Amino acid sequence: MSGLSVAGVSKNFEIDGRRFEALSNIDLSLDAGAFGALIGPSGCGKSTLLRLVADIMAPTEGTIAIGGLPPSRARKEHHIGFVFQDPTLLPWRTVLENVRLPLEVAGAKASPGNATPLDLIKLVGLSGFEHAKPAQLSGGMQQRAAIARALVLSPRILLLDEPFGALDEISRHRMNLELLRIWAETRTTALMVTHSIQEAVFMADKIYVLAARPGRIVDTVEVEMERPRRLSQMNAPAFTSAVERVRASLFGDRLGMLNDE
Amino acid sequence: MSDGRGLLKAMLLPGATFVLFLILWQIAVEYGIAPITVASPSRIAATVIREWDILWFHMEPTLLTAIMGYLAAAVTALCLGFLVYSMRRIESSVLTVGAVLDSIPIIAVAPILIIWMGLSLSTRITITAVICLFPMLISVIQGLNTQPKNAQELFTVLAAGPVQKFRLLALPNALPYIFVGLKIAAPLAVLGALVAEWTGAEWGLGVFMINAMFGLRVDQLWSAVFLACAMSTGAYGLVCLFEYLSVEPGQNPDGGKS
Repeated sequence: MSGLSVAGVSKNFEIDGRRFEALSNIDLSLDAGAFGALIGPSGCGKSTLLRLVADIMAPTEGTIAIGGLPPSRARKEHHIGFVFQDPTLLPWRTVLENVRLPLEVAGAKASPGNATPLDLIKLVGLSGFEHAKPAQLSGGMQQRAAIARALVLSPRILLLDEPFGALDEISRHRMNLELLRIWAETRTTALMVTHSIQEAVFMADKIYVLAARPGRIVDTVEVEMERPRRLSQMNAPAFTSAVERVRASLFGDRLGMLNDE
Repeated sequence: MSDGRGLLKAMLLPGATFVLFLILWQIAVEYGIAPITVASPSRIAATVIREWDILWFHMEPTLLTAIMGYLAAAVTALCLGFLVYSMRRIESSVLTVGAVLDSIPIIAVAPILIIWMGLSLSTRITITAVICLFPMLISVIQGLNTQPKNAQELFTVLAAGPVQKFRLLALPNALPYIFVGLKIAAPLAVLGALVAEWTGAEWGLGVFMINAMFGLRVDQLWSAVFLACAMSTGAYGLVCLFEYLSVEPGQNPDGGKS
């Protein structure tokens, strides 16, 4: 079954009366339960693509399906979990109240899945902080709460927009491992935007490499590494070759030119 | 937030300055440096204690007017703010009308309202409300329209309805802004009530002041002024207390990074 399919999607913006093509003819498909990554330079439209999938914006052309549903329906039926670059927790609510927010909005008495908000808080490793306010938590802990919130309605797809971009490298590795563990437990389809080649290869089954102006997919890299993933795999040949391939797609032969100089 | 000791420390310097000011004032009056129309702090205190019954008799309607006017203005500001929140196009119209209303000196508004509505408690409440409205309105409108983009996107992804967006995001997010307006308006309410009483009332601290002035009863005039000050600062302090109880310190919905 298809977790996510994007077919022929383009997105144009009007800036000062001039048309600007943010995304051009994007095709993308993820199996249900797969982990996908979007990587590319700033301005390549990867965050925009994520927002099209989440139905925050509508594409100019093309179709998107989340588990067979169009994004507008998937959103209204609460099948989409979104983790922003900033944790975006409501500071006047406790961790538990923030995690419960989607349930409140959806009018659901209990979580539709098996995991209750407290289970999810435990899953993301925030036990004991249920009644803390966001300001009392570190950036990484806030983002854990945001992940728990995104999962509370058992979404069909989890969208992550550079979720750990603000963290230092050590915390980021740790959070990535945590995220993989959580994702493996929830068995949801995931699509993550990232700036880091290593991160993309470490996390994903499939990497879409984007280029800018217009935003387009220039390469699709499948990562053949067994799960659960471990940091030690970062030395494996499969890892290194995938990193090399993504790097080559991102920089083309310009990297070679730089080396020649 | 500063703890109890930090608070005590923070209040030491202004507190000491105030006490020093009172002592200098007392000395200036005792040694005849100040004009005889100035009452000393000790005499003001003695007068307030001695004539508390009559002072309270006049203070009560002033308090009532100030509180009612303040609440009327707050309710109006919230309703108008909600209207502007749901119809962004009318923002400039509402603010223009508000600014024009606010630009009329309150001392000029009062006679117009009295001719229109007669000398009554409701007229005095209206005068108070008019003077309180504008700062409240601006803060409510600004607060409701200052929503972080991420939080708005979050509520879009959650498929929240307009009422849910208002109740769960816009209103709690606006509270710190709204309290700025509420704090500015709190002493204004006392001012409004006094002005309203000057322009015509049977009882009230404003009336008491006018009578004391014409009767050259210096001690009574000063004690009335003292009570008016106490009401203004008390009102401000009360709003600060409500803010402390209802607003998270460093509230910032954009990830709570502040």
